[in-house]
Amino acid sequence: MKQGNIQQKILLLKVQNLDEKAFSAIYDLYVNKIYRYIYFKVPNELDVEDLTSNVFLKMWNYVNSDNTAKINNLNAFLYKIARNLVIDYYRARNENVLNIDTEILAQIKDETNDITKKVAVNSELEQILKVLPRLKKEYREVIILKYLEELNISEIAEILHKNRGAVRIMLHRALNMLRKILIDRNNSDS
Amino acid sequence: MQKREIISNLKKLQQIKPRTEWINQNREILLSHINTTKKRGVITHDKVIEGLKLIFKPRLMSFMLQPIVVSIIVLCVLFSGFATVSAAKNSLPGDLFYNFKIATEKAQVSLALNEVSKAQLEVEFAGRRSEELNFLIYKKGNQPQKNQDAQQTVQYLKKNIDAAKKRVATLKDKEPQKAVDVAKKIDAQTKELGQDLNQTKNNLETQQNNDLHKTINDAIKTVEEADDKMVEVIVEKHVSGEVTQDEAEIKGLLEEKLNKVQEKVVEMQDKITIVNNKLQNEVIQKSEIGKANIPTNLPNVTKKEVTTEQPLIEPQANLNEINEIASLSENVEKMTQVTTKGEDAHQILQEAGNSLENNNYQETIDKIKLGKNIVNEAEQTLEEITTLADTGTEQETDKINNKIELEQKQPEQQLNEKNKTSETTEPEEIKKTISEKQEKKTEPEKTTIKN
Repeated sequence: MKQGNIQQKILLLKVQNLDEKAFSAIYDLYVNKIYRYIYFKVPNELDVEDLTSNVFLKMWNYVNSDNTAKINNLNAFLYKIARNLVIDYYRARNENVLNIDTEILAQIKDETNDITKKVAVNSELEQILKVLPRLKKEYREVIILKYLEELNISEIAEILHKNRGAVRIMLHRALNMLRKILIDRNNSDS
Repeated sequence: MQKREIISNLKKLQQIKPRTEWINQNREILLSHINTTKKRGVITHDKVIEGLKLIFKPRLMSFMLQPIVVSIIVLCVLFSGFATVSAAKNSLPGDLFYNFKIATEKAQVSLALNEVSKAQLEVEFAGRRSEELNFLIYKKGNQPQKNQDAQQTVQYLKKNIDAAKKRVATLKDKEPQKAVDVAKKIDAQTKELGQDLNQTKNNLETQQNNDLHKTINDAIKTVEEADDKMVEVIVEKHVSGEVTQDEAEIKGLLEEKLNKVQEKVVEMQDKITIVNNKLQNEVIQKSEIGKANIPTNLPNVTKKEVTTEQPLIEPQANLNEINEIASLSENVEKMTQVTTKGEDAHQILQEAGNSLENNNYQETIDKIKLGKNIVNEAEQTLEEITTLADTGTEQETDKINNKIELEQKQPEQQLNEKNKTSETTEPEEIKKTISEKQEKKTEPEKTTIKN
């Protein structure tokens, strides 16, 4: 892990000096992750690709501009950009940000079908995918960032603009809630 | 389910990845964008002031710092940025800012509000690629570079068209009405695009550039396929009842498609006639020289077979001639196939016409599609034959015709003696064929070579 951090810092330093190879390396390192993160938030695959591309464009524009604010953590920085772009995406479609949950809920049926093309979905995973939209937006977000994207607590805290303690508590509650809903669902099915 | 199980199941979703093709293409686009934006920074007010401080003395600076003067300077510096963007807008393939232009277009698509706008933008950009191709053929520069630039432009055009098609395909199931609306717009745009590309191809006729010709044909094919796809979507949604449309409009679209393919069949039949004549001349040439016997129904002779198994030619003939003859017989056979396909296509299109009259739209479009595929296959084979048939020049044909005339003026005896010597190796029927052809040589018949 430490080595990964060092690599991240070196790349960050290089890209802030407008090194194209560093940019390309960052792209290769993060494109799958950013894509996956946006994939669970936006229903249409073409839009997912476009938004993913824009994340890297924005990153470049940021380092290429005269912005004096330093980037401390590349991971968190890229996910923050991605998160903001998704919010802008829904705003541009004149959709109330509060309705994002319902939006995803409505499309999760299609998403599940799409997901089966990319991942071998077993019955347990299918249940989880169906139950995820029922979680609070923030709970869903921390679960995805922690277990899917494998970010650490500090990084998640930076992305969500919360402190580390709050993130830990949220994560604990999110997982408990998810488990509870799954158990209730299994009980009602049986 | 335990927490551990939930977490391990969630981790399975890490398999979700973007398409490799998209990753690579996107990387290229991003790198070309950063290449062109690398040295440009954001021009801020403070930056200008700092720059001025370095140049002017303090007393003068107090005057310079007046807001109006500074604003004018900032505008001038900003204008140079706009000039860069407009320079990129007019750039052609191979120019410095061309990649930046492509990257800007890509960004425009991503910022578009919805699938419909994105699809239309893609087709609009495909139209720009077509204009660029047209300019390219007149652009000064070395041929190989021009061909390379043209191929790159066509690649971008294909990407634009494919992206538009995908967006319509996405909309088709989710929002059929919107899909039909955008399909109609794209249908109109692609028709125009096809016409422009054909015009470009005609403009190219004066230049001897087969590679560029092929590249433009490629682009035309892509655009035509997109146009076909749009009509398929429109018809499909009408037939399924998801989108109610004007019957006359649907019929009009299908009729136009049918007419286009029928025109192609007619064009192809004209080409078949020309190539048949060329092949026939070649057959005559070979038989007149007396070096080979080539019955018109020569069965599957390959180069290998000729050299090792069947002694179809005189022992004195060299290896080159053997191969020429084998190629000729291959062409004859291919010609048969092309002719048959032409007839099949004609038949299917007639059936398509009948289906259209009976308002059976789905069947009509299916048959048009099938007919078009057959025509395309036939054209491809014809293209191969044409390349080979073109190897004989007019001069060679004249030379041989002169030789034939001279031989005819010789005393009959000499001619009989010649025939006698060739009799030992030539079957009777072939000798008859040669003499018959000698008589007919001044008026070559437009007959099809068939088995």
